[in-house]
Amino acid sequence: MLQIEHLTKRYGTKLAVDDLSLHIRKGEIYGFIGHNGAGKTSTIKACAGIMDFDAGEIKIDGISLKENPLAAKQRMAYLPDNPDLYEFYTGIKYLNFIADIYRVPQAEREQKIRYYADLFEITADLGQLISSYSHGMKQKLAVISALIHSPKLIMMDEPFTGLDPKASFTLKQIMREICDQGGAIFFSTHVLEVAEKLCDQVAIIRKGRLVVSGTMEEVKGNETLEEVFLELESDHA
Amino acid sequence: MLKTLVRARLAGLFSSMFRSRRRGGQRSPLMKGLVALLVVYVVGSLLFSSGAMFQAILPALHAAGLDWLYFALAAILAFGAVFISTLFMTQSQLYEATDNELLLSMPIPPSTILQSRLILLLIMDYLIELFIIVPAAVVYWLLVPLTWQALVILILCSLVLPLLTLALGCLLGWILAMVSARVQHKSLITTVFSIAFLVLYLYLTLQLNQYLEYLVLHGTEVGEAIKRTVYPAYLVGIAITAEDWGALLILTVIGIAAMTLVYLALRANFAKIVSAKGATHTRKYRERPLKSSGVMSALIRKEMTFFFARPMYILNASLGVLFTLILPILLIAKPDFLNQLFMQAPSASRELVGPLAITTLCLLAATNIISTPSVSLEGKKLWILQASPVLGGDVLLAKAATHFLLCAPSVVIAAAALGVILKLDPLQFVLLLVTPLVMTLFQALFGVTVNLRFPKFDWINETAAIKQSLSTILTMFGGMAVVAVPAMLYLYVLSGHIYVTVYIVFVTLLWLILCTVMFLFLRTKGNRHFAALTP
Repeated sequence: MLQIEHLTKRYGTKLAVDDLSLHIRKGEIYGFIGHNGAGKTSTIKACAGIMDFDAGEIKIDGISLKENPLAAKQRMAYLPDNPDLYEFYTGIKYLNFIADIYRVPQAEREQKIRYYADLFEITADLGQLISSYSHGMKQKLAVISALIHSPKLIMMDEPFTGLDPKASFTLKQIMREICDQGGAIFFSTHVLEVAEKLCDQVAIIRKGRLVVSGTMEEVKGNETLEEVFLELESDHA
Repeated sequence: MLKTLVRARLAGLFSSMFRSRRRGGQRSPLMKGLVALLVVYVVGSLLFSSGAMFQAILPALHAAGLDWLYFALAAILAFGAVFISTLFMTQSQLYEATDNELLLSMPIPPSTILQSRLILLLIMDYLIELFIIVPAAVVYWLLVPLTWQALVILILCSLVLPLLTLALGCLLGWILAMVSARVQHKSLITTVFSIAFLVLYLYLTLQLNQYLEYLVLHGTEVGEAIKRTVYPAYLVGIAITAEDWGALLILTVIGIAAMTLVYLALRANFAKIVSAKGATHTRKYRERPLKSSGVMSALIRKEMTFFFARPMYILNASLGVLFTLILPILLIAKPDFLNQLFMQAPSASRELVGPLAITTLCLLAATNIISTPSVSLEGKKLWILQASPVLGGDVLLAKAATHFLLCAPSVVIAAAALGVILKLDPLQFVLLLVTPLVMTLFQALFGVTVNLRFPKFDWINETAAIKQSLSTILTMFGGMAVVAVPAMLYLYVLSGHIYVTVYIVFVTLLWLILCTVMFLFLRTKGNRHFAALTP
C-alpha cells in the first residue's frame, strides 16, 4: 500500500531523512518510532505530499506520488500532529468542504459524517465555529475529515495527542477496522505501549536512518518495546 | 527582558518587508532597492501632500497673528491620524495579539509584556506623527523662521503629544475589545461601523478645501473655539510660538498623567483582558441535507467565507470596491470631480471625460488587494490543501477568481452609472466596462503571483499578513503603476499622435496578454510553487 524507497530529505546541509526504505502492506498497522527530531514527521509529510524530498520514490497503492500526486492523494489521508483547521468554518461546513475536495457523493458524505460524528460524540457541536472548539474536538474533527472519503491508507502523526481516553479507544478500533477491510495505517507515536498493543509492524528511526523494522515480535522478542527502543538508542548514541 | 520583547515585536513587524524566506534570510540587492524606492515614494508623497496643506493655511494665519493656531491645527491633525491608527493597532498589537497567551505562560511579569506592547505602539505613533509635524515645522521654518528655542519646544511637544493619544487610543481600544468579545455578529458590526467611519472620513476630506477657506476667513473664531474645547492643542500652539515653557510643562503633565492612569488600569487588568473569551452562543446542530459542489466552487466558497469572516481583511483589501460604488454618487454631487482629480489633464476636453472615468475605475481596481495576502493567510492550515487531491494551480486560481468575483460587480455597477451620467458614446461605454474589468482581473492574478513569490507565514495576527507585507506594497503600487504609466504616457507623449479610444483598446489588450501569462504561470508552474510552500 505504501512503498518508501531510498527516501532522502535535507534541510539545507542537515540530513533529516537518510536513504529510508519502508514497505507498508495492506491490512497492516505500521508504527513509526523515534526520538524527537529523528525524521518521523518529515517522512510522514513527504508521504502525504506536503513536503518535497531530495531523492527516492514514494508509491501509494502502486501510484507514484511524484508522477501522479492527485491520484495518490485521492487514495490516502493525512492527519497532522496539530489540527490546524479552517476556524472560520463550522464543523459541518469544514467536513462538507473536505467531502467536496475528495468528490464524495452526497448520500455517502452524509452517512459518513453522521456515523463518525456520533462515534466521536461531536454531532451536537457540528454547527459551532471551529474557532470555539477545544484541541480535542479539533482533533476529532480532523480524524473524521480524514475518514470521510474512505482512504485506503491513512498517515497519522501522533494521532492520539489531545484525544480523551474514549476517543482514543474509538480511533484504535477504527484503525483496526480499516486494516481489516484491506486498508493500511502508517503512524508515528511516542507512546510505546500503544504501539506495542496496536501495531502489526514497527520501524525505529534514528537521525533519519532506519535502525530496525519488522513485525512486533521480530523487533521486540521477549522484551518490551520500550526496552528495545532504549537499548537501540544507547547502542547508537 | 523588556528590550528583548520590544525587539522581537519590531522584528516581527518588519521581517517580511526586509528579509526573504529564501536566500538565507537576505533579499537580493534588486529587491532591497525596489523596497527602498517604494518606501521613499510613499513617505515622500505623504510628506508632500501634508506640506502642501500647511503651505495653504500658514500665510493667512500668520498675517492674522494666529501662528499659535497653525501649530494647534498641526497638533489636532497629528492627534487625529495617530489616534485612528492607535485604535486599530491596539487590537492587533495589544488586546488580540496571538502571542499573548504564550508570553503570559512564561516567567515574564504581565506588566513587562504590557510595557513592551505600549512601547511598540508609541514608536509607531511617533512614526505616524512625523508625517504631520515635520511638514508643518518645515513649512513654518521656510516662511516664518523658527527660533532654536521654539524648535526645541516643538520637538518636546511632539514627544509628549503621542502619550495623550496612546492613552486615549488604548482606552477606547479596550472598550472596543470588550464590546466585540460580547457581540454575536462581531465581523458584521465591525465592518459596518468601519465603513461608516470611512465614508465620514472621505466626506470630511472632500470638504477639506472649504474648511481651510473657512479657517482662513474666520481664524480668530476658530482659535477661540479650539482654546475652549481642545486645550492641549492650544497649549502646543502657545508653547511653540510664544516659547512658553509653562505651557509645555502643563502639556507634559497632562500627557504623562493620562498615560500613567491608563497604564495602571491596563496593568491591573491585562491578564483578564487578553484571556477573555469571545461570546459563545451554543446552538445544537440539527442535521440537514448537505449541498455538494465541484472542487473549484468549493475552493472559491472557502475563500469567500474567510473573506467575509474577517472585517480587517474586508477593510484593508477591498476599499476600492467601496470607492468604486461611491464614484457615481460623487459625480452626481460634484460633476467636475474627475477634472479636479486629474489636475494635470487638459481640462474640460469632452473627448477625455470617458478616458478619465476609465482611468479612475482602473486606479480604484488597483487598490483592491483581496488576492494578495491569500497565500500568506493559509498559514498553518496550508497542509489541508497540500495534502488534498487538488492541483496547487487550481487553489491559486480560486484565490484570484474570488478577488475578481468580489470586485467585478462594483465595476459593472459603477461603469453603467458613469456611462449614463457622463453620456458617453457606445464605444467609450463598452471600454468603460471592459477595461476596468480587465484591470480587476489583472490585479487578481498579479496579487496571487506576487504573494506566491513573497509569502509571509510568520505573522502573529492576520492583519499583519494583510497589511504589513512586501506582497501588499508590490501589488498595490505595481497595479497603480500599470494604470498610471500608460495614462501619463498618453497625456504627455502620445496625445497628439493616436486616438484615445484606440490607445485604450491597445492598453486593454496588453493587460489581457499579461493576464494570460500570469494565468498560465499559475496553472502550470503554480502547482510546483504551491507544493513547495512551507509555513
